[in-house]
Amino acid sequence: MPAEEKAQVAGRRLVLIDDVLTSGATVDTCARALLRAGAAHVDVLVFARVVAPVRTPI
Amino acid sequence: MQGTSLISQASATGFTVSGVCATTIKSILLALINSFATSAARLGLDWLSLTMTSTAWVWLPILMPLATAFLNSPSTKPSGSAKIASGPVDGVTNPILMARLCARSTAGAIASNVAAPPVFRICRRLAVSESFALCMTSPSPIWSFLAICWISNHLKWQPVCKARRIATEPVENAAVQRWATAMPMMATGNQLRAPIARTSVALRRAGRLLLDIAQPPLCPSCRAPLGDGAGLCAACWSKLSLIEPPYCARLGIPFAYDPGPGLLSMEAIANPPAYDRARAAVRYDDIARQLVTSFKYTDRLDLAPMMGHWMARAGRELLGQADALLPVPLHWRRLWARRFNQSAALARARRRSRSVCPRPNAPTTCKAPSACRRRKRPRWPAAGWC
Repeated sequence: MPAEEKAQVAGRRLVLIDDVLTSGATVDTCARALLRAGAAHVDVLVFARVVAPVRTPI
Repeated sequence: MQGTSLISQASATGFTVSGVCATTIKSILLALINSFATSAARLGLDWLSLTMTSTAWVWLPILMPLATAFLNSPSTKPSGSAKIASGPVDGVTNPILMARLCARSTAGAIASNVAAPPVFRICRRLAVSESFALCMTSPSPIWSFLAICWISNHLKWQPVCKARRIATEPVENAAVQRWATAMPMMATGNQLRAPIARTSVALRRAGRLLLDIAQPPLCPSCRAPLGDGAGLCAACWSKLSLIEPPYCARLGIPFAYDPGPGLLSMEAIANPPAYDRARAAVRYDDIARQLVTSFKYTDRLDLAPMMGHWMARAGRELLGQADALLPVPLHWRRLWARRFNQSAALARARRRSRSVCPRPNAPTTCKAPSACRRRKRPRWPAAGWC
């Protein structure tokens, strides 16, 4: 991330916006990049997320 | 079976059926009895078959938009009671409560008023820039709709705003002052304010009616006609699964029962993510998939405000503490093909509703705080047309 972009996110609480969260790999990568740039907190807000069905042991 | 006695009739099953013989009805009084038997339903007297005998479906095709605009009855006004998840429930077994949403609700002002029905507003009109962008890139029958959008957006409120500014506020702008001097009738706007407001309201209603005729409001999921053009139809709304507490405090995965505050799911403990908290508005089921695919792949940018409202309700605790919203960047080739970043559209819908208020003690890295406030969007590489 460029230096001026780092200055924009350093010390801030950020919220990542996405449409669908399936495995979380995309937002996890983005969050790692932002945290490396100095962001204080990174949260994720998506429209829909895939919820795995609960397998009840019989 | 002709000539069988009316008293009894032997059928192939061995039972003896007494009463009116069906063969007699068929052979003698077929048309008349058929007419009597179904006349109530045909005339609409039978209340059970009212929906089946709707005359809206036999109108001429050229009149169908008009019929849809005036005769549609189903709308998204479900009851405000607790909505139980429909269908086979996998992860959520608690009743889902619905909170009332206002068009301009702040993150802290969203009250969980269960008794009131939810009000979801959907804006079917695009911004001027989006209209132009779509006009330039998609030569399709949407041209007429976009022209109406553009005209209505440009006619809306402009003369009224000028008159109001002159009537209520001291004139500071030199251009407006010259304009007011040149038109002294408008300068005395106190007498004209009420009729201008009434005229503008009437014009907006007429424009709305024109829009409804040109583009009847349909459910974005099943394309059923909507009464007031807001949200989903009742059938699709009942199938939608909103994610409500209890859920994992880290990942936002819904729990089947409430294990207590702050308890994490097994996935969050096993593979802790880099981000702090994740929240989602709905489960990715059939209705949500239809909404997302329509939004992403068929240029339904008008769904962004509705989806943004649902996201704001789900992430009100996140948005209340946030300094900036960052859409997940899109690859430039996909951005070129899709012409917009769907995450940026959602973030822009959130930003327009003013739900994100920076914290008072937010650290500012800009030289001038005013310059930081003037920035319309956070800079993020390849963020797209945010």
